[in-house]
Amino acid sequence: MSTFEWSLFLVAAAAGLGGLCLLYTAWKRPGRPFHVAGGWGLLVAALASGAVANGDRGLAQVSVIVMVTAYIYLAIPIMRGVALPVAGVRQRAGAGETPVLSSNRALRGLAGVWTFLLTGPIAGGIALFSAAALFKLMRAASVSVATAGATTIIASVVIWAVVSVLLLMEPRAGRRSAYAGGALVLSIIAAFAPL
Amino acid sequence: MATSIWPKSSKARVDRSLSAHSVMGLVISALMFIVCLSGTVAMFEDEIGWWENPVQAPVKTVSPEVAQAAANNVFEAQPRTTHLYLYLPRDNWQRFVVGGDDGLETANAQGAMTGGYETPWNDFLVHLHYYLSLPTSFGMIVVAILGVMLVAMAVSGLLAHPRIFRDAFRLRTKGQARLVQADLHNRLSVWTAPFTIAIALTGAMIGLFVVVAMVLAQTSFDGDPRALTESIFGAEGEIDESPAPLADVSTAMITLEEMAPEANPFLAIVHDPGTASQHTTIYGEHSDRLAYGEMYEFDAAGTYTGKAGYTDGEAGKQIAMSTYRLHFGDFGGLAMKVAYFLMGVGLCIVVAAGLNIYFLKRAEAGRGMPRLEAAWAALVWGSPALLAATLAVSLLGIGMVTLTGLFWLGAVALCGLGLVLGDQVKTARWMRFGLGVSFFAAVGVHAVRFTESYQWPHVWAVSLCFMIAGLLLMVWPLLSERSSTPSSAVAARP
Repeated sequence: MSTFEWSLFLVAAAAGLGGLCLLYTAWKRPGRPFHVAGGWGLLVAALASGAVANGDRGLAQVSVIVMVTAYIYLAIPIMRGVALPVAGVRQRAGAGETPVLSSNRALRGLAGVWTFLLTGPIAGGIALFSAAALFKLMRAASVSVATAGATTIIASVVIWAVVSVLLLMEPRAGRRSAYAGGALVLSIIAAFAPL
Repeated sequence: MATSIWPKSSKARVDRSLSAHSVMGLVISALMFIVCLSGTVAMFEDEIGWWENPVQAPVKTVSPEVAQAAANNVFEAQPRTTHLYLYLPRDNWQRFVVGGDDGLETANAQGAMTGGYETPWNDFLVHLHYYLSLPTSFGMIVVAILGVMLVAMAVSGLLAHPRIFRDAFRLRTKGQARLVQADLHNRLSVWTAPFTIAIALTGAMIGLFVVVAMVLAQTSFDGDPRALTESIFGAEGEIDESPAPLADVSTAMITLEEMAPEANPFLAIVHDPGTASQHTTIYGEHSDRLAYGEMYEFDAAGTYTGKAGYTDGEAGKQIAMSTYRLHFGDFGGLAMKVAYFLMGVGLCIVVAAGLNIYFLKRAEAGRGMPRLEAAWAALVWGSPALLAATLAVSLLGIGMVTLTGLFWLGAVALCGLGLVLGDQVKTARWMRFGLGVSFFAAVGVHAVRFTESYQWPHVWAVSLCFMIAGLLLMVWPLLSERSSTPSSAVAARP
């Protein structure tokens, strides 16, 4: 790194810390929208300056500096000691003793297994085939194999995560299964459809 | 903050997100904790691996002539090898490691092979993090799925957190235990969310690469599973096995120094050494890029033939090659590694606090599970203790397979002990003490076995870090717990 790049990197780090300080001030004394905007603005400027100073590595380094600073701010009170993770109430007499029929328990167990299958392998299938369809689309748009491939891998991870969350957020098991089944069929058709 | 720029959340959506977050957390917490813990420690795999078997004096630089001499020595020792590796010293890793298909050895400053590269504990640690000690191809997919789930946890956690900005710096360390654990969980996870998402995403990308390649092979490449790999990482050419003098690594290194002085070479590979089709690849680190390295190609005579384009080529190649450094925090020397280690510890706390919240909610509802809580405490504090204990044992000459068995059987036994004790506070205290003692035991065994190596600063530095950590773990809890035990907690104990 040249002297200019080092200087810019230090400015980026300082801007990141300044942004953090402004956000902290805004949190400590509410009702200061300029502090909020200024804080976020400085954070964005810090990332941009880091990227100019040292490429994508600079962006990552400035991000880490900001995160670790916030982390240390939180770690100091933690290291002074935190309340033990022990419930501060006595166990209520009789609570938690609701009888559960053994057939209900078996059904709940099966439902749990089915939910696991939906959010694990089936959501994974939806993600992989959707990402494969995305790959086809990108190739049709003349994106290189390497770029389309890398995008596909990222997309498969993100789609899998999001689909799992959305399926788990659906409270009705029937709808959850229908959504998953429909999405799986659609994604398979899209992945194997000729383009 | 009084006003939030976060979209107003509906209560139903927040509740459902929280429910999804809880379900996922409950299913994967234990394995996730072990992957996060092993990954956090593996941040220093180079440094600990060097400390584990410090039989060779540090080598600060390797000249092209020494590299050539080392290549000749490896080829003499392993004439049938298909690849010949020269790992060159770096600023924070002053070692010269050379070898071929039959294994790696350290080399001295003259390029002579001196042995002493076996690091069973480091191998065990890496295997634990990459594959959860399972068979490699299956284990890597399991760990990748945990990466996907960690991304999902981050997504659902953010959705379940409508007061993310209003509570940005709020951290209660005293008072109601569930609120304290919730603050720990939420604040640490929010402020380190980019780190968590980065490591989870890159980890999952590394692990799922093979699976995606297989799916794309069926949907887009007429069943060819190598098509994606070759488009990103290149393909090996046809091999002409006619004998030839070993490739000129020295000239290749000199050429690289002249044409790309900004590239710090850290790995040279001779492909098909001693054959007519041999060629040399030199990886050079670019200190302004996240890419693992640019791959410079040279023919047998050391003439430059081109580069792969990992620093300035297609976006996909740059992205794929950036996953490693982004995942392991290897993009800013020791400082970034320490930062990643700290945030890794934070992630372990987030996972541990997540399950603590679940147990505390149950206890508050009168459905406490003190034995399971104690088993969880045993896993949280016992697994680092087991890592330190296996390190001490490995220094006595125990192999990787035995270490793997000791760790997993030990984890089961400690969880069993927690179940029997049924007191998470006592269990955690004993495990922490065990962790501290194990650190001292490891340093003690090391000092006896490798006394001569204490002439080198890196050995001192690692031993000192272990001793400080051990001392803190043994003394600190006694001091802090005395002042932080809520009176109500005492009343609540079974």
